[in-house]
Amino acid sequence: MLEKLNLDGKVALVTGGGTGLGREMALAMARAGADIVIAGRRPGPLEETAQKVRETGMRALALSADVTDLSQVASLVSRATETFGHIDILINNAGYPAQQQYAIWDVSDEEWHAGIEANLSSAFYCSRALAKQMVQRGRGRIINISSGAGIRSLRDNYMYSVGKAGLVAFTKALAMSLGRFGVTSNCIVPGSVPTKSRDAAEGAPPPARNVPVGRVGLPQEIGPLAVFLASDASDYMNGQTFFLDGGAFAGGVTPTGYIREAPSLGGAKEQT
Amino acid sequence: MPVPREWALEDKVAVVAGNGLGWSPALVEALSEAGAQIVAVARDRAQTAAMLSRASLSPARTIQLSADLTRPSDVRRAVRKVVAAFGRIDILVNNPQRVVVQPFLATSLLDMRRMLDENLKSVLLCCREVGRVMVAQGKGRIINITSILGERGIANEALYCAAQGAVIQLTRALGLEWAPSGVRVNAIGCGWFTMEQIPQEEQEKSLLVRYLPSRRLGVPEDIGPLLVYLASDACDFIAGQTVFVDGGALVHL
Repeated sequence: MLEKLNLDGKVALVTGGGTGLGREMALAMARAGADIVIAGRRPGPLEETAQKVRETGMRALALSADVTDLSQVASLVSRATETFGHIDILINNAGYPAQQQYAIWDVSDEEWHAGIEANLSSAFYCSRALAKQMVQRGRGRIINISSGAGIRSLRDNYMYSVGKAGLVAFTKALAMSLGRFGVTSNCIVPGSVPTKSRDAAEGAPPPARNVPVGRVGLPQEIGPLAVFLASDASDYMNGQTFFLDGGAFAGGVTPTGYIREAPSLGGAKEQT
Repeated sequence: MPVPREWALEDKVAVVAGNGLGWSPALVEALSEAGAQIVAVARDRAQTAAMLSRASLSPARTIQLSADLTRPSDVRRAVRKVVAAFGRIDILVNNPQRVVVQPFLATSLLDMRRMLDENLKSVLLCCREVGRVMVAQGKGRIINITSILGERGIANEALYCAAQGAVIQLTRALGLEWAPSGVRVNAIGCGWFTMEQIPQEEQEKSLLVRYLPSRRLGVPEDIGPLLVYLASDACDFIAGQTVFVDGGALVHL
């Protein structure tokens, strides 16, 4: 039953695919057999990733686009679809470095709108542009990349937290609406997985000692998870949020590593 | 084998504890397809044989052990046998499946004990005894099979809900407690499943199926690949999590 993990014949579109986690997901899916469209703002990294995809033997198309811009989303989707015929997998990974970290009364209207556009609306625009063709083909995968800040929160950080929370809700709304047409939607929440772009978005990650498993995540660790969620093997997962976070979300009511004193075991006899 | 390189369970020792019911054979099949050696542990030989019924393995790569998983001495003995045979345990899958539909007011003390013994105590004991081995190894994967009914309530299944909720919390707590030891504890929460092949048309006659966002019941094959992922070395940065495979049931308002 594991042959379902194969992505042969499938086409994936990854936004923010030039760098960081987007690049890792694109490469992992290519190794699993998918052709890849990579979208992003900077042509340099996009072309680099495309080249790496081609080295796996799969086809790649690098398209420069700002996914908060409706006309650019439209041309991105039409060029991708013209080139490959169809898109089976959409990974909404593009995010926005929400550096805002100050009191709510100092957040301007423009900053609020820009933050929500970048973190949330971009995923809506791309999904809207692709949903109909997925429904018509009776299959599709939408994977949103959210953040722990969207489930719990960050101090003095409104657009990032609210936008990422919106992505979790958007994932569920898609799941409810498109599931019966064979289109599933799921979400990945990467925890402490430092990449250059994420550091810009969330600040430098906490030191490894603040992650329950005792280390930060490696960007390539998102690869197998993305392949699983993109594949037919995840067909009955819908609306779920998957935490790739070293255990952070299992706890959180105390600082990591805080352990309440156990009473002495009196010779530490093993219990039967 | 079509498994991505990172997912291979080549020669890993996987203990599957539970019974021969439901999706057990599919879980065993998925692990063995990925290359694992299987130890099936259940009450008796009929159950362990049922667990192995789909595994495409040479008998040399499987062991069947009979044990009452609610008895500490039985669990200990089984674990000792596995360690004697293989020298280690890489993967533990806890898959108890006792479902009782019964109004709570009709529940006897014996019903309570049976339910908690089979669905919770067995998991506690297997986690403790196998966990001892894994913590000492500095590595291991434990996957508890649980249910959406550990997350949501339902009438006439209070005991089952209570036990499954406990398994989800156990998963979180052990996921954290053993995180520094390299032992990853996660769970799969199953939604509404069927063990039969029911045509889609037939399924949609059911109110329950029409309620599900994915408009079908789950089948055992829906959890196999996820189990392999959670059991693999590739899955080292996920801990204490219950992943629900429910066709979107939990998303419904």
